[in-house]
Amino acid sequence: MAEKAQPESETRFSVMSHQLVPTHILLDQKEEQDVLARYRTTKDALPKIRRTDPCVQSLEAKAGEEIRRGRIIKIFRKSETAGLYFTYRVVVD
Amino acid sequence: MIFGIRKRIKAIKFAFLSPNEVRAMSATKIITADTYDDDGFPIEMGLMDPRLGVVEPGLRCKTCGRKVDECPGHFGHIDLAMPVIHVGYVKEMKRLLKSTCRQCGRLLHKPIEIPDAEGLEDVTEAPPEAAAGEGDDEMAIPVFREDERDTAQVRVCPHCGADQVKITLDKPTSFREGGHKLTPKEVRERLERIPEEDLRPLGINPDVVRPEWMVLTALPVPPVTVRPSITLESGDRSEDDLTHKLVDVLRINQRLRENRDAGAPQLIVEDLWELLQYHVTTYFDNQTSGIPPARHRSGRPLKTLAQRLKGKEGRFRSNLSGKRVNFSARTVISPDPLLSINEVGIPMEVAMELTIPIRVTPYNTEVVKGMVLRGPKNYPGVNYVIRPDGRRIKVTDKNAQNLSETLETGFIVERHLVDQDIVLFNRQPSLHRMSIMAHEVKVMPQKTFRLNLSVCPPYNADFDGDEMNLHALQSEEARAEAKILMRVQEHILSPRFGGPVIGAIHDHITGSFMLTHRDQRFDRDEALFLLSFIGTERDLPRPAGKDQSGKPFWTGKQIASTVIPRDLSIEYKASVCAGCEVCAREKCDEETGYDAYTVIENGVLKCGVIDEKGIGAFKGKILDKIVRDRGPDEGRVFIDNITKLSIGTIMLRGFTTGISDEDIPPEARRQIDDVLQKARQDVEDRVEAFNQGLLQQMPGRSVEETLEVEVMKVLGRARDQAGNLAGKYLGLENSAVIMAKSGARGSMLNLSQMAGCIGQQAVRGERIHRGYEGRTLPHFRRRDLGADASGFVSSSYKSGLRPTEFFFHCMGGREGLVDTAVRTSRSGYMQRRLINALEDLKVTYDGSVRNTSGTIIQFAYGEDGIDPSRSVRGEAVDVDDIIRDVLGVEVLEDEEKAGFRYGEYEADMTSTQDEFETEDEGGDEDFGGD
Repeated sequence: MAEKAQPESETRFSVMSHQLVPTHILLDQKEEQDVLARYRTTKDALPKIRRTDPCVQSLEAKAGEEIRRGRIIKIFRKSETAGLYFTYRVVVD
Repeated sequence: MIFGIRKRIKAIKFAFLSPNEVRAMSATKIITADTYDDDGFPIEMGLMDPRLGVVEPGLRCKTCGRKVDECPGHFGHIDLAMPVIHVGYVKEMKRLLKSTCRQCGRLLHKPIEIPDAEGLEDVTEAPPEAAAGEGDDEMAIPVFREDERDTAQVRVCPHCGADQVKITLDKPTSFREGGHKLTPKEVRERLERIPEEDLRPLGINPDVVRPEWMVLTALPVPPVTVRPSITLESGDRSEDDLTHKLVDVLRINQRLRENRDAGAPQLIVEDLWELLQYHVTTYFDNQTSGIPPARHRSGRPLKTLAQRLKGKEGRFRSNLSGKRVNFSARTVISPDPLLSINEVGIPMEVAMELTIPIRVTPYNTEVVKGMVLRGPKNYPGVNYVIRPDGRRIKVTDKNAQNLSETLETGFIVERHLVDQDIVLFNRQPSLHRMSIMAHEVKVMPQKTFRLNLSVCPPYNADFDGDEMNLHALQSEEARAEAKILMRVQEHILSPRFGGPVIGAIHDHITGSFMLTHRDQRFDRDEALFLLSFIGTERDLPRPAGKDQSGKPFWTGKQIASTVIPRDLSIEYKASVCAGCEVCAREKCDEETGYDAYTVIENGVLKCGVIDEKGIGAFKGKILDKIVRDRGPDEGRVFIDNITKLSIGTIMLRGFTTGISDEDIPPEARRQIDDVLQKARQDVEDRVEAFNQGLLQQMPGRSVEETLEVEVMKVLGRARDQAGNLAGKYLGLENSAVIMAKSGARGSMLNLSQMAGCIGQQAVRGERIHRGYEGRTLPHFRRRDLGADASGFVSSSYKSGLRPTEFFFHCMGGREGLVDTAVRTSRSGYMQRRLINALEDLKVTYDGSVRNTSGTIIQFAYGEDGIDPSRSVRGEAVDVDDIIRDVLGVEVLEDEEKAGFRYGEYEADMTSTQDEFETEDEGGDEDFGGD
């Protein structure tokens, strides 16, 4: 039931600009390989994120391309202990 | 991919046993309810039929020909005269009956609505590869929860047009259609009618399951190994509960068959049928709601199949998640302050029962031979010898000589525990990793386990009858691992808050306070007596001076300094610190007499006392610094030494407390009474103002609440004033005060309640209002809102309470007890759930947190990758400490501004004190023992 992301217009509210939503970044092929190599793991061991997640949709709109299953998204979070913490999520349907 | 895992469980399939399968796997049909004949031999085709397996040693199984322990047992079966519903599947049956037609058995959907294999993908959002790539078996089978609701609305079958009647479940095992009761037979017929292609949408795989199998026609009889009979001393046989239940089933089955075949009246047959249903139901689950549990002749409910598995005593929790173990011991614990924290004292009896396997090598043959020669009764001896062929030989006095001579390289010898062996020591409840720690054995006389008092806090142990468990490790790897990871000294710093959990308690703190407070002087003999407590050889320092008579003396600070590491420097405010407006720092001693500013420079105690803040468990800063900077070895030595020194001091000087410590002069008593009288009057005035409606309402509160708040404030203040008045007369020459101020035990609040006034009693955080109509007790007038009528206790514990006060105090006390009981049970359950959820997570070498399947849970443990037990109060680095170390400048620590300092951490966590709480530690003490 994958709905097509609505194009982000000026009027539409963007989740990414909300203060509680952490920064999401789409990784490219090379970066993906680096991450997997660093943690010596495969994509199926990473935490997941839905393609229908508003943040992914928003990234899709920004990138102007479809984010396919298996792409990795890096998320920067504020952390109480570390200050800044990043996590990776792999896109699933 | 995780290395080492060769096989993975891909799927688990659940299916029902068909009646044919039950009969096929059956070794025999069971027809008689009798078990043994008059000669005590099992009856053929009875419940103890020899073909069901062997339980008696020496016999061979009639089915497989194997002996006891080799034969796994074999199922039998009972052919039921009439079909019976299986309790475990009533919900499923209800679902099926409701969503299928009563006539044709088809799913109550229009044909188009029944999704076929292609349609499924759309409906369920099944991932395309799941349907496409794999065979039919693995195809995701959708369960139509929504469809069930839809079909409940359907009145007419879309296939055959039959009218549908609503089916209800008449708990526990009968179905009702409209007013008519469905017999199991009818239910079975209906389930039989459901066509295979309609089963898949209902979440059932028709390849392995037919729904009608949920109605039993053949009942499997478990092998005798599952329900062994026991022979009592008297020679009587006692059968297992399951056997009893099966006897019931057989008996009724038999009667039902006879009656049915004889053409008995419908009513009688139905009654028997119902009875058979009851017996089969309780055979599966004897706690089915809605029916009385089947009971033993003694009145005890039978433990049937479900009861064997369920709950804390069930197979899962007590036999699969947890197991009984060998090489373990349990006994009462008692203290021994002279043991190291790493040690545990073990009774000789235990040491001679628990063993450690030793492999005989050319290097130890002689020693081991000697041990074997001593036999099992002479310590340190050997209980068993294991030959290279795996045969275990019990060593006895008779064969010891012989065995010792035959001993060769390659033999394994199970020798007694000896000093320095590594064992695990545990106290339940094991809530912590510190609840199981590795200790070094110290074999001792007497029958208790002995442990150092400093390790009581992590185990939460006391000596009012506590028992602890001990496990002797059986392999070299286990011992090495335990020694490195689990030794007590490795757990001095807690991962809970990054501070020490092991440290001085109670008398250790009192002793160390007495040693170091102000200018304590000891003559030569005394100084040597103290130092003699620290085992290692060391020189008496140069005397601090000479007294009037010219005899040399040593100061307590000097003696304490001997156990402080050479180059340790630290500065902090001690527990006794009164929190003056302007801190006198090093001059604290001269100016206030508290001696509360502690300075240690290069291992020399310059000023201040060493009390709870210095060495106490949870709070000790010196301890914290030593362990953090120098490692657990030095930490352990320090704890051992400082506590021994403290014990020496307290023995030398003597220390006692009694109710006379709370004596205050009559003058003070009068002042306190004045204060309380004034407060009482104050409350009266406010109540009066309230009654006349003159009370100024507080924002956001009703007038009544305002009164309560104000009264509570007044009384709280009165209690504090009374406490302060009493406290004025309780100085540091007072033992009880020494304990309270140094942090050894008790608080000033406790003392003021003993000497001054106990204060307001509370139930649910409010003054006491419950009781009779308009009043708490018949001693008061109705609508009396005064202090005494609502639970204010103006007496002290020492003077004793008036009857009304005593009653109120009991009310408050009971709430405290109930609260702790509720808290422990609730937190226990939460702990269980948390552990079940987190048990397979671990921090891997790259710092990430993963579960056993390798899925990453967190990319860095705790998001910062910091081991909390190596952290400084939760922070990765202690900047202040580094500045001090590098520059030699003390960073002034402003306690108020710093806010959260871990010294106060414990207090924050445990404190439930509000302004008028009476017991400071709630249910901390329970003298009932275990």
